[in-house]
Amino acid sequence: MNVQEMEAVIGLEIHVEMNTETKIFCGCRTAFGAETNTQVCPICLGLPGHKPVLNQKAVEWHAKAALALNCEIAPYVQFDRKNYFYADLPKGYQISQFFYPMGINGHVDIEVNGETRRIRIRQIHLEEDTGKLLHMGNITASPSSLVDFNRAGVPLLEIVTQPDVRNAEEARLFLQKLRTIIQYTGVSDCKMEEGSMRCDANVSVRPKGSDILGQKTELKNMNSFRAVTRGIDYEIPRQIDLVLDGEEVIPQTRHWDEAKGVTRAMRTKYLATDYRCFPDPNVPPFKNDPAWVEEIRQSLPELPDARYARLVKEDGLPPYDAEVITASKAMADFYDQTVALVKEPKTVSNWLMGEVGRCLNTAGKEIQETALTPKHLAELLGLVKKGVITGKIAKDVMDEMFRSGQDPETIVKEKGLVQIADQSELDPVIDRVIQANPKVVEDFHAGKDRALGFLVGQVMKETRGKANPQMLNELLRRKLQG
Amino acid sequence: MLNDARIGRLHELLESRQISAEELITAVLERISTLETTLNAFITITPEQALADAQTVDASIARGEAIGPLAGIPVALKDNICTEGVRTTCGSRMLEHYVPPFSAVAYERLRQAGAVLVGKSNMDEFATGTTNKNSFFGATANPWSPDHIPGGSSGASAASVAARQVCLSIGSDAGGSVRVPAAHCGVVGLKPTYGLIPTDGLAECAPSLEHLGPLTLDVTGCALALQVLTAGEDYTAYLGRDIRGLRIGIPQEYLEQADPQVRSLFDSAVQMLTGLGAEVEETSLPHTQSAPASYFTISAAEAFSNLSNFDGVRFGHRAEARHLHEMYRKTRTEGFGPDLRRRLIFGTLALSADHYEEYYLNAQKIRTLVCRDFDQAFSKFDLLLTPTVPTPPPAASLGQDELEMRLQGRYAMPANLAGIPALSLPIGFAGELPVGLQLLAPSLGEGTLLSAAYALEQLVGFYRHASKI
Amino acid sequence: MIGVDEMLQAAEAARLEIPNDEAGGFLTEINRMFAFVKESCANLDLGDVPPTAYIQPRMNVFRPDEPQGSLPLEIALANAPDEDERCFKVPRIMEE
Repeated sequence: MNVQEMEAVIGLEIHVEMNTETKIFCGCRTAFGAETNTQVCPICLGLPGHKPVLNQKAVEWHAKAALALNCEIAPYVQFDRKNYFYADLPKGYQISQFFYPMGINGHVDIEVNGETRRIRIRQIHLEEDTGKLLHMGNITASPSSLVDFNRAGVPLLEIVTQPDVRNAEEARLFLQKLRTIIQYTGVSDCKMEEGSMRCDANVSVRPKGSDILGQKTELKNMNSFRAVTRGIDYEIPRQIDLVLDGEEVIPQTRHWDEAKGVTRAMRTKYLATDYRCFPDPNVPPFKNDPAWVEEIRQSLPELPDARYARLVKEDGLPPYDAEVITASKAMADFYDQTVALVKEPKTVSNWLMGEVGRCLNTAGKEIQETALTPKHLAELLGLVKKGVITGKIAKDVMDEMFRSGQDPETIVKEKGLVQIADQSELDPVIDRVIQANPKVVEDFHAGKDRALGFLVGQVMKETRGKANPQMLNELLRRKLQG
Repeated sequence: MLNDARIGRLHELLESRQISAEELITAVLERISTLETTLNAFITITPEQALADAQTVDASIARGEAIGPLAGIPVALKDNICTEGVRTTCGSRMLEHYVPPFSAVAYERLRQAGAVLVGKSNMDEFATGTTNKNSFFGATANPWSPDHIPGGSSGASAASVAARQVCLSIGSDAGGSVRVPAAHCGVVGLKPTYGLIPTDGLAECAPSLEHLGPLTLDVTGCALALQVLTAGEDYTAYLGRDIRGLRIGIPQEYLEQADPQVRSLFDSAVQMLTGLGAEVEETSLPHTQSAPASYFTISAAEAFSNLSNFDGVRFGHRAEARHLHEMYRKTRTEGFGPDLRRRLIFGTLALSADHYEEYYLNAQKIRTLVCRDFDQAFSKFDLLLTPTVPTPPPAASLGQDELEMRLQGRYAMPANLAGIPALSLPIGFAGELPVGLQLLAPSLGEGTLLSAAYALEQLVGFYRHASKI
Repeated sequence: MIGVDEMLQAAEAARLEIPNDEAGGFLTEINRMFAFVKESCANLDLGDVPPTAYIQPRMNVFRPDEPQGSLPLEIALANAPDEDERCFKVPRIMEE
């Protein structure tokens, strides 16, 4: 047996924090970044006598996310208690859906090397988040820890895949696709850096072709997409080495150490193996009425795959463009709205991927966080099309639009950027440039192409980029050729 | 003033200004203080707030405003009912100094109705017990005989009413904890339909079994309290109704272990009801004997989970320890008494992977059968009648045979499993010790219970007797 | 029936200690309870009986997604046995 004959089998468990106003069982706010222990109440603190009441929106959004992931919606849903002790768990149990989760048998398709791979989703259930532990120092050295319960009770979606993932790259593609889909539903912003999306991986290895699963380890503490891929890329060979050496893979939880780039066994002594799950007597179960499920389904926006297909088929965009545009719902919506005004899909796509993308990257923002609007972009493209401004000037106008939020017409007027397409204005400038550069003119006549470019550049410089390029080229050639 | 401490009567005296609320509460506080060494019914007494609240009621009366039937009436709350700003201990060392930052909904409703909280009642620790001997704060005595137990876990709640320290107590009942003490102390105790009185703010062990319920000297008082606690209908409308033609069933299984004195009193009560025109017939609830097994298992399993928040992190007792899990162990071992700990361990085992099906799941199945028994019975009967407890109040000196003691609630437990309303009415004495009769009705059948209980009460009039203390 | 080890494991799962002198008594009482429960089920055919987890017919109980009820910081921490920097303070998580 050698490495080539082994394959990895990976299942992912992803937790996604919902963007509801309030927590799942109480009316405390869920906003990120609040002062410690200011978004707490007797219910989420687990004080004696607390009684949970389920947030309706959390249930609706759960269904929304489940449908977006192609799940079936279970007709009967029950909340159960998962019992264990830890400092960030106020009640000594977590309310989750163990026996009857709401979403089951879903899938997400990813493109791997030109092929479509289906990653099946076993279930998506709703549960509550824990509080946060703040260690003075690190967890092994601290004499004490501090606990902030602001996060305790935030509604959490847990998505569990079947062990269909085979390597780190697939995991990454899956996570990206999952994130995009969830973002489209509006249920969560899925920001790993803020903790609103977390991923654990169950990894095992086996000989290719076998259908028996090997012993698995659970990888935790991977706090970014990069950490997930690095963690998996470390763990797979580690396990393969063990197996090829004739050793056993010990089923255990392993902690990803970002600094050292390794996974490390966690002491399992206090990680309960028997959660003693039973139905939570305080939270009544609920039945899902098919009409309600249908309503939720209707409320879903056009999802990434469908959007991508439409942009390619109907708008004729190249696959690459369609992928970039549909990577975020805000971008895809912006695109649609601009195209509705301008009716030139490729042009719009070019601008969004090009200039707009550049501005967004520099500013570190998402398109919905800027002052840019589809209407203004459409106007800008119109100005270029009508020849009011050159393409190059348009880029400067874009920068200004981005910065100030002003509409392009106003910017062009105020800055006097209107294109010079009037021959009587260009002629004197061209003449001046020709006169000032006799050597270059000679080069042109000698057949050196770059000479023309240089002269064009000089005219552009004098006109501060406003000369109409086609006219300029034509006039310049005519004058040079005599 | 307190010889007849029925709510209705005291309300009349207050309304007609024959007494003031302040006088009433002052008398009550004196009585409490006099009896405390013998009775030990209170863990916390709130004299300043009580007098202030009484004065508020008096001011209202002085302004000529109409007052509700509970205004100015002295009330005790079992100490597992949260009262904002007032210590709430659940009878346990774990919460010896705990002061809740919020009040139970039931308490808020009482306050709005002008009722005056005079103190928090002693109880078996976290409501685990049928004797009220299981409290960190010492045992409570039965006012009819200090050598006998008042029942539990709301023993002190019942004792206070019987001893005329208060007119109304609110207790909690997961397996008979309101009705058993009501029977042993000779007062009226009601466990309403499940969920009818919201349990927000009740520090409970077993949420699927737990109910809040009033304890009063008479049925009228019970109806008045129920209206306020449910923020609902006027239950006094059911009092005085004719019960001719009422179909009453007597499940034979409930008579099997009954003490002969209890049996004889029960039979007299049945005769009285027949005399009033009710149609009484024997019936069977075949799964009655397995109800305790189901109750013990479900209540312990839920308790294991529901008491996991007592860990020394956010409130309550915390033991010295160098690391977290050691702190958990020491805190919970120091904070919880042995009976409670044993109950929690039993519950932990019942939910374990190895035992889940045989114990917890089976207990839930028995629950189904008990519910079906009642459904079938109520298709033929309006009411079921049983003794509340198989025996008169046991002696306090009896050794704690845990299982036997817990089986005192065996006639009460089925109503918790099914969530149906059940009322205990005192019907007589076994020697000098009170005995109670239990009436059971289908869900939301409180009206039927009150009508029948009231009719019987007119003939028995137990509240006319005064306890020794 | 339950053995001592199993009882101690369950106690640990519930983070409870059983002092040595209580252990015997605990085991006896717990086994009595188990025996009682087992006996009570002995003559019942529970095979096809569905379990009841919820007795109330009440289903689909929700509240709207509107903020309410949070406690001010001082009150949230008022009963804390130990606190620091506006957080609940606990001893070290890991054993030495």
